[in-house]
Amino acid sequence: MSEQDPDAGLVARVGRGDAAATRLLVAAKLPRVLALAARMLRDTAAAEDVAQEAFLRVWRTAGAWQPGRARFDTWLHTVVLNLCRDRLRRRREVTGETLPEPVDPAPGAETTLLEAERARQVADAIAALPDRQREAILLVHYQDLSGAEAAAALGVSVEALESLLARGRRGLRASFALAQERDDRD
Amino acid sequence: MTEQLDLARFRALADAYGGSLARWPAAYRSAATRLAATSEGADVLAAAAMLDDRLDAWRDRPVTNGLSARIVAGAPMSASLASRARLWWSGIGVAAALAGAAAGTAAVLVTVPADQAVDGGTSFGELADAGDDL
Repeated sequence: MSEQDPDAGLVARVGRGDAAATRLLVAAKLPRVLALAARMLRDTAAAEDVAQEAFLRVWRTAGAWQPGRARFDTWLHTVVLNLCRDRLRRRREVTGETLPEPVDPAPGAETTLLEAERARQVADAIAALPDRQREAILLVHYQDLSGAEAAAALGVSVEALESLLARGRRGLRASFALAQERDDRD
Repeated sequence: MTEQLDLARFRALADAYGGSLARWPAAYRSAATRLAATSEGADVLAAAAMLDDRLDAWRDRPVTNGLSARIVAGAPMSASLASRARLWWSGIGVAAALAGAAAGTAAVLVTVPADQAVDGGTSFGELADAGDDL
């Protein structure tokens, strides 16, 4: 899959210290990196820290990158996932929490209260999923990775990924249905 | 490669990837497009799309300019750019002491050598290693 890596040329230029390529790579990848970290951690400051750390790893590694192996975007997602897992693990050790802290998931000052509440419900439902199902949903639905790319990032087969996705989506449906029932009763 | 698709597999793919065929494996899209034109297929996709729409309520955060600038500033500069910086300093006849300081600055800016190991991080092409703690 990596022979058609659309980022190969740009990463090679970054590895040679090309400043323009560096800016282009940040412009292209930072929104994706931040989006994944923010949804994993539900903490803006921590997500920005993860984004900076992920790019530090890009800078350290770009010069040694070899086309023909992993796709850059898949590798970058794996780095971000691992950094977020480390932070979640440390958070659990310190606070005993098994779920990410609920922090405002809605972006932008223009967001209405209703939109913010809908976003929070989705964020809460996704946070309640088992880790692997949550990661599968984040990679495929929000990060738009293909099944093969998401499976590679998670280190599972495509069949296993599809099972994680299907179970995750069933869990989300059940969660939303329960919330709807509660709303109807109130 | 184009895969054959019966309704059971079509449902399974919709359960996994949702109602947008753009997220489905490319090998199935052609057959899926044909099935999506049937009433049964359309119902399956519509149900999956309802969940997709719900999930889309959780939107991406905007990236601040400050974060982008900090990340770009942390990137190494190429050796050639650093050399040009040294030439510029020598060309305007800066005193030897100042030239030494410029060379020191340039040395800091030289790209990290490719053979420097990532400090325990994920290396390109090492997804399996990166996923050790999956």
